Amino acid sequence: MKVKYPIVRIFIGAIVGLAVAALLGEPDSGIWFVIFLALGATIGICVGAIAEGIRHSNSVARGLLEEKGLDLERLPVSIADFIKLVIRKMRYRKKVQAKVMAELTGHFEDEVRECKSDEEKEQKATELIANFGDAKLLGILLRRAKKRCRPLWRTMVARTFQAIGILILFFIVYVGWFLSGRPVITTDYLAQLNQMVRPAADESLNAAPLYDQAAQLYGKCSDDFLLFFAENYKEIGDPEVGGRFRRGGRLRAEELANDIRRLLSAKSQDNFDEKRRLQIESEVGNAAIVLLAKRYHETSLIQRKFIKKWIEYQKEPLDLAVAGARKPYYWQEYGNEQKTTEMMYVLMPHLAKFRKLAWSLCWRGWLRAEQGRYQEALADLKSCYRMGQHNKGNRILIEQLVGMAIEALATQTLRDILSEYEIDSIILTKLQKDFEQIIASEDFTINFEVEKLFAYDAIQRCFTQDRIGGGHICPQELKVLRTLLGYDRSLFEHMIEERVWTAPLHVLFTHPNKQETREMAERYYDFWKKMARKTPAWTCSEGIDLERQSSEIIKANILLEILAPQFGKAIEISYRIRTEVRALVTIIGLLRYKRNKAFYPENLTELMTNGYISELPLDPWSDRLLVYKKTDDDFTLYSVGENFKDDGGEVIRDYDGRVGIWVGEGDAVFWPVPKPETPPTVLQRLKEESKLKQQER
Amino acid sequence: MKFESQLLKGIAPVVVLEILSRGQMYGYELSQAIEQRSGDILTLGKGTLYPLLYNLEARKLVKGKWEQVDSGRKRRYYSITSRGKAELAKQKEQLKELTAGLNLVFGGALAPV
Repeated sequence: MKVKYPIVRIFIGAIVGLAVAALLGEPDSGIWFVIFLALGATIGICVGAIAEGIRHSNSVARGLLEEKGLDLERLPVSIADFIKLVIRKMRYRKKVQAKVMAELTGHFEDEVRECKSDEEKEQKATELIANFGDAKLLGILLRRAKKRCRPLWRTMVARTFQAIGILILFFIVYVGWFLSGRPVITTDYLAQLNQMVRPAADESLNAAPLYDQAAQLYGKCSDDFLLFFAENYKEIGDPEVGGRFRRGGRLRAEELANDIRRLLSAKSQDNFDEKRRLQIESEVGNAAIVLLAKRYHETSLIQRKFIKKWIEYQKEPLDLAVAGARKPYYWQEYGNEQKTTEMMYVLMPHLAKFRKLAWSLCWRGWLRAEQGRYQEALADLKSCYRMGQHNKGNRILIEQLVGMAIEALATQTLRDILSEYEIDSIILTKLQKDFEQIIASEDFTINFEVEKLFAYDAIQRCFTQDRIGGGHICPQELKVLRTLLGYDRSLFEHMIEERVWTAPLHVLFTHPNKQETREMAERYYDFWKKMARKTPAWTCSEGIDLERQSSEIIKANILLEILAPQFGKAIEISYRIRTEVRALVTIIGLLRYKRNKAFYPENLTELMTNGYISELPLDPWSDRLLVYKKTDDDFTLYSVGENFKDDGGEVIRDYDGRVGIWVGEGDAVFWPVPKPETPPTVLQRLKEESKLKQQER
Repeated sequence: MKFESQLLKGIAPVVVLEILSRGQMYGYELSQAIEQRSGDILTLGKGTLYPLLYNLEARKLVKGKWEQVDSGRKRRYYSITSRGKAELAKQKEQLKELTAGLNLVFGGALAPV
């Protein structure tokens, strides 16, 4: 098929490129498919243009000779070959080559015109060729001379394209070299972590084996307990306000109850399904754990009865947990499933057990207090607090957060029990003394040393070692890290969708190298270490935006931006627990004061001067003392809370009537202990709020 | 007589410009004219001629154009430009001074240009 117009050839190239891309691409891949099509069309256009260019220059060469009335065929073969060789050696634009060929052909035609015979022509040809000299040298001289004839703009265009070509070549070589880089692992940070958390103590002083044993034994229960669930599942299930179950919950509970009845009735028979019994035990256990997460006053009588039965069956594991809490140390060996030294894959299966053990201990404390067994109740809560302490210090951040959560649970439960029951002064004094001893050497500040090791390990796994530029980032390793951390889009997709077009160039040319990244990481953690010792009130008064300032340190470092967490919330949580603990000690002191003197002190300084507390409780959200207000027969003790504003002891409740302490509004009221609203009260409140809204409209 | 190529190197452009100043010529004609008008003393290698013409064209001292001849074929004729004429005058002046100087050295053996 003969194509007449050049543009049509290019257009056909584009269509073919597009069609090939459409066949090879995957239409479901969204933006990638569009990019692939564009690439195919571009390649098609380039191929079409190149084909057109070759065709055009070949035709020009033929056309020029014909146009000038010249014909190489008329000359002796040696001359024709010589001319062709010279033109080939010239290696220049076809049009120029054609003109030079025409001129040389004309010259040789003039030279041999006088020759009468072919032999004479051949002889003349030989002389002429010798006179012209070396064909290669002549070709070079002709090219140089013709290049000088080029207009300036054409020279500049040619040089520009050459420069671009060199840059592209350099870029391709550089990218190839860049992507071939691989990290070299030189340090075993996992071993360092294990060394760091291991105190210089005998294994017999380690609480871990006792906690592990407690976790293994936890969850067993008898048939009686299963039957109790089956008979009372409607109330035990997790009802919302007004008695309605959460979506699907009632149905599941009903099915479970039917299964229990069926299973236990078949127990005497040969086909008793032991495996199904274990599954049911686990599901009922889960129902128990869901209830354990609630506070005492958030549960109904039947739910408390159910919990009580459950706790009775967990005596052995809970006693083991209490024994573990008495140990001075707790450490675990960190590792990963692959048995490698990669920190990112470190598993913490041991964390899961603490939650249910902590809840169970707190509930046992409540239930014992209900029976008047205050000493035992308080002992359980002290053990729970100790369990939380065991997870703090030189630990991974998530462990520290779990530790703080357990401590908060223990202190809250202690406050609830102190509020509910009149405990005598002797027991209170012992409680305060024990507690002050427990917290005497506790550092409430978040510890970043272990987190740093994660960063250092990630750096050594994502940067090359000792290459030109001091070690550069490896995009392939970065991709693995992002997947591990749960990023659902690749770096490239992120770049396209967020329009961060310069990201690849930044990765290739301007990204901080290994040493610089390491220094950035150190500065980052030093910043947080410094900020962890500053109260929230100070940070607010100085106008410090922790997130912004910390982000500035690691700006433009892709690895650290992915990896480095914001510790602001963790620091706040550490101050919360510190405040709650000091508030608890102060409350115990105040209650003791009341028991002894029959009235509350006028202020906290009086409490301290009378020896009931050893230090005044500071409020990190005001940098002053906790607010203490004596009322007729009681007192109020609160922190101004995370809005830094004294709201007069305002308590914030959520939709379900549950109390929130650290919720960003209102105050964190420690005493009197706010109780959650009962469902009828909540319904009443919601009705009134809805009425008010309608009136406003 | 075969001259040292270095001696001819500087003269070739002047010779070509001088001959073209008398009328336009094509390549073959020019090479014949150089030999004839120098009494066969000066011979410009064919391999030097065309690169020289293109260099002069690049310096805008000559210009070339294709013209039809009687036989129906085309030839590329070269003619001197005004810049070429100025350059020729300058080069001739320098050669004159050179000759005068050489004359003094060799005791008047060289004829003036």
